This record gives sequence, C-alpha cells and structure tokens, in this order.
Amino acid sequence: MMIKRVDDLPGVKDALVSLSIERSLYEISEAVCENVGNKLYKKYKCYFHDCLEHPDYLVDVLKQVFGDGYISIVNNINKKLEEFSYQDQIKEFLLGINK
Amino acid sequence: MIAHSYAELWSNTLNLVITSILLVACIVNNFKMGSRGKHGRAWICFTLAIAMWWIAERIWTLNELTNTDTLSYADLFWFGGYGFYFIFGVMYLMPFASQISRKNIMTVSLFVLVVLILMLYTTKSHLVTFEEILHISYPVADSVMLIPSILGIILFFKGRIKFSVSLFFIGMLSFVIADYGFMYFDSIGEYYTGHIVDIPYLLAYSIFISGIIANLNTWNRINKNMPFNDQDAMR
Repeated sequence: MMIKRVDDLPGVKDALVSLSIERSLYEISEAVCENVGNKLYKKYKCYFHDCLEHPDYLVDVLKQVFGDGYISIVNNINKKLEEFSYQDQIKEFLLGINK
Repeated sequence: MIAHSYAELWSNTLNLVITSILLVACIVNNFKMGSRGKHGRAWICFTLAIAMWWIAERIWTLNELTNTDTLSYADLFWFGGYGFYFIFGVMYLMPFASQISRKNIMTVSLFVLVVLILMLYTTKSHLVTFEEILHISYPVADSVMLIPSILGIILFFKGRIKFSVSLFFIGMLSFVIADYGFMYFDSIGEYYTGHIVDIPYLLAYSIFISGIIANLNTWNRINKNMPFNDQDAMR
C-alpha cells in the first residue's frame, strides 16, 4: 500500500505557502499583513493561499507596497519554504517569486 | 533684546504646539498599527522616545522661564529618548536587514566617528567637570543615532524603502544637525532660546509628524469589511 506524505495531501501546499507569506508579513506588523492581503484581494481577487498558483500576483503587490525592499520579504519567505522545496509546486512558487 | 524675547516666546510656543501634535499623532499611530511584529514594537519605542523628549522639552522651557541654570532632569529624559529612538531605528530596519551589508555599517560608523571627532575638536571640548561630560554626551549620543539614520537614508536612495519611511531618518538627521549647532553656539556663548539653530529642531519634529501621517496612510486598515479580513468565517 502506498503511504501518502502529509505534504502530498490536497490543500497542504497552499496552506504552507499561505502560512509562510502571512508569517513573514506578520513579523513586520499586523497592519502590513492586512494591507498586503487587502491589496492582493482588491487587485487580483486572490488570497495568500492562491499565491501558490500565482506567485507573480504576490510579487506585484509586494513591489507596490515595499518598492525594491520587497526582496527582503521574498528572502524571508524563501527561508521558511526552502525545506519544502523538494516539492515541485513549492519549487515553482519559489522560482516565481525570485524571478 | 526685544527681538530675543520675541524669538524666545515663538520658539517656546511653536515647540509646545509641534511636539504636542507629534505626541498625539504617535499615540494614534500605535493604536492603528498594533503592537505585534517588529514594526509594532518599533512604533512603541518611537512613541516612548517622543514622550520622553516632550517631557524634556517642557522641563527645559520651565527652566528657561524661571531662569534656572542648574542641571535638570531634562537631560535624563533626553538620553532616555535617544535610547528608545535607537531601538526604534534598529527594529524598523530589521525586516530590511538583508539589504544592509556589514561593509555599509562599517563605512557609516567610520564616517560618524570622523564627524564626532571633528565636532569635539571644533567645540574644544574637555572632560573636566560633570557638566562638560554631560555636554559631550550629547554629540556622542547624536552620533550613535546617526548610524541607523544614515543607513535608512542610504536604503531610501537605493530604492529599498519608501520616502515615507525615510522621513523618520531624515527627521533624526535634522535633529542631530540641530544638536551639533546648539553645542557649537553654546560653546562660544552665543546660544539663546529662539536662536536660529532651534529651527532644525522644529523642522525635525515636523518631519516626524509628516512621517507618522504618511505611515498612517500607507498602512491604512480602515476597511475592515474587505473580504480578506473575513477569511476565518470563510474557512
């Protein structure tokens, strides 16, 4: 019988991405997290967990909010997700935000 | 002489008005930004710094009005404010730490050290009496404040932080210039309340107010009805 890994279960990767984005922003402040989330929703009708499919949306909003300083946030997300980067989808997401 | 008394009156009044507006703006900003995260804690430190400077300014004004020329608790509050401002500067820049290289920190520290030595040489400072030690402590504290401020301004010119953020560092730069100016004119016995060197102080406080207003606009959280804020209910 094939055993499924927890991170192979549906929705887990989205949750991982969502959590790492939220935590990276919360580390700055609650207001920053809400602001980025609201802008993401307003412009793309998208939540943090949808960013797994659309890393470009996240990068665009981060650039809009932080200017070139968005790189620091991206670096922080990279650190949080690098241990899961063996997963193709996560790897693609990381490549997407680091473009 | 009349001009001096007018200058003193205006300087004291403007100082009271501007610093009070700043203190209120800081408190409002704390409520809006919350206390979580590095920036949340940084804003608390900023408000504490401003509150301490507000008290120091009032003690200073009281001493001026009553012609008290002795050392006062104002110095204690000034230095307390410097401490909190430094913590604010470091915590605020922390999320952008990956953008600041060690080389940058070393270069800025070296530059600040040269400025400090030049300042102490120009004012011919000595470390004999307690009062002289206290007077020298100000440019030393100012120099320490310059380090995060210059790093912040460098980040702004590199495009790594927004102009609204850099206002806090530009304000501090103005504050330090004012302090150096005060120290110089005081050392040659030409300083009086309302002296032209008081203008950069008022300018610094005004720049801080602009920074707070810009910050409130940038991180506006007024729209609580945005669907993003309703995620818990959607799960």
